[in-house]
Amino acid sequence: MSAKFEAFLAKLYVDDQARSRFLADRRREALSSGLAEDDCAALENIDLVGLELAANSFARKRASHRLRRPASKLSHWLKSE
Amino acid sequence: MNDRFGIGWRPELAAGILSNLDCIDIIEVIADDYFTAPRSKRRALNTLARQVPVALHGVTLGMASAVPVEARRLERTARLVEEVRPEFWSEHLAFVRGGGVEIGHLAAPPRTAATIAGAARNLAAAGQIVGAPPLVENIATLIDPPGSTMSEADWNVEILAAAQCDLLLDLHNLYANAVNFGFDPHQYIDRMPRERIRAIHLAGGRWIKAKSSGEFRLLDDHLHDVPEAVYNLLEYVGEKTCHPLTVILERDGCYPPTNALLNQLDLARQALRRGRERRRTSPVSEAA
Amino acid sequence: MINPLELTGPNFLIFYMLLGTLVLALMYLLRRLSESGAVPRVDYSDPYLIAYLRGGELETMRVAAVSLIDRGFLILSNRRLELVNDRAIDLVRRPVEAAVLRRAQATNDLMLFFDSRTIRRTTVEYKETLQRLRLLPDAHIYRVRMLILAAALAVLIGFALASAVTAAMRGRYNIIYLILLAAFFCGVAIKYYNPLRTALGDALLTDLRTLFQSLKNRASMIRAGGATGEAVLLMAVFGINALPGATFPAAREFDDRRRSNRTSCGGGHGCHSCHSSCSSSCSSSSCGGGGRSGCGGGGGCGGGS
Repeated sequence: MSAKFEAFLAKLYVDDQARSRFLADRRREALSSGLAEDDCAALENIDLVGLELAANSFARKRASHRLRRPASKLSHWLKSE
Repeated sequence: MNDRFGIGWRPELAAGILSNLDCIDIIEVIADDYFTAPRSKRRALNTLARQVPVALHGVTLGMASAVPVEARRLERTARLVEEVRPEFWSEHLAFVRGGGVEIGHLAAPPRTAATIAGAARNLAAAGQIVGAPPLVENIATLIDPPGSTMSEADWNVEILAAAQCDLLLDLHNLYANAVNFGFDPHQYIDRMPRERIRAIHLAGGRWIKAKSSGEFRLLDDHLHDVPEAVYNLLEYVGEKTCHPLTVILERDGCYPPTNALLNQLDLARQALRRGRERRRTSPVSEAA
Repeated sequence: MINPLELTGPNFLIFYMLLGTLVLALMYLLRRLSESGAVPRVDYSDPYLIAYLRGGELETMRVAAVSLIDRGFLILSNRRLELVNDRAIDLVRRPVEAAVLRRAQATNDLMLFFDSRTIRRTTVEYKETLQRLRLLPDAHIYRVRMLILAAALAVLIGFALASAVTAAMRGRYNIIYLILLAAFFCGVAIKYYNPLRTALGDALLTDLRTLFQSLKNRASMIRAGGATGEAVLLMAVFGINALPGATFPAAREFDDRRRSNRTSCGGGHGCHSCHSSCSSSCSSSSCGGGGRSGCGGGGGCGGGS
């Protein structure tokens, strides 16, 4: 398990289109991201219910952050966060 | 036993908290709210810290990751810790970003040797830069982390040992994971090195339903009262530990009247007291 | 080097204006430096302590009155305050509230209501507590302020006199502008040498406003009736005019901006009482924070739902 695997998971949680492609063909998506064989095997057996719920929860959390801090985007841009 | 009971600081609760400091031993402040705050807010935080002991709670470092935490994030944590001088600071055993993508919340990393090593490395760096290592908190997860090769309890124990850190045991996170993934939270508590359990989080949640399968899972949303099962776990922790604990109630929204929150703190006091009493009267429960 | 006493006409006036401004700035800085320090621990369970810090004894009494009206112990009608019933006095905790209710037994006229030594006496403890915490000036701080004022006046008047004498020796007697400027700067120095709060008190009040900014932002959602204590806390920190008039109509009657100067400043306590009305009506400039919420505002670590 590596940084690449975490990066793949992060994208899976955040990017709706990437998640849709993954759900359509998990192994292919994992392989095309350059993950190792055991990583791909792990992703083939991913907790699909949890993935759906987690992705939704993360999305709502991101949305609530945006609502709470309307100025944060500008400050982040200015500070090149 | 000088257990302490406190509450998470939220601006909406300011009036109630400051009016009832005689019932509150400590306040937990979200550190990330102050990293880019104007001077006036940081000064107000310092004033708050002079009135009541404060603990700082980070949410965006992403400690439990194979990826090193950026030094600049640790440095700004260090600056805040230096300024506020909290009782302690804490972070989560989670990853929050990867490949340049911000997840926006705490995600459970794969429970593997690599993330144990990564967490230990990050915690060591944190201790060095900030000046003291954080307490590390177990997180709730709606997804069984893919690629995991060990249980949550084993993974946490390994991290605590490798990093020589203490544990902020979030009992609702534990409870939620236990009901969602079918393990006994008491066994988890039994696995933890007791002397390392330094602080406790209490919170509430609600059941959510997956559209695809209709399956329900418990979400740790911090928007509901602490359920009885969590108080029971607190009582169990009280029975198993023999040193003071700091117990903090977390509430992020749907705020009830202050009295209701203080009442939940009282329930926590009673639960912990019951556990302590049970330990005192049944020393055989000390057996590992 | 130019001798300032040799300056004439507009050059001299400009110099004197700069001198006066410098003296006032130094007065301010010296006062702030001598009154700064570590923020003390304060008991926030009594909102009237904060009200006294913000606005002095008169403001404390007014906040108490509005709170009692909100909680149903007093009735305000046609600018007359009336006790709901005599038992109300036994039901309140704070001495200042009991004193306000007893006052309502004796007189109903709003204009005369706060001209009461009895009520004022109940606020003395707040003053003493705040003085002990160095949030309000005590005798020592007052002496230091007097010294600073004396030094400032010595410079302003001394230089003005020296300039006037020099001008007279040279046959110039048109010193009206010098007199006006000297009077102006001396007047400002005298008016502002002794503000209600110390620098430490100002800092604490600013921090309290930051900490309670969220409460102010949702003032329109605070319910009348006093169940939560948020209304009195809001008034204590930000002033009575922070309460929405629609939900708290009594607040309009006590609103600083609508009150005329006819409100009594009281007997021997004139200066501080007048300062209290000034400071509360001028409080908007130091309310701290614009649209941003107070400290925190983050969502904690609860899951998104």
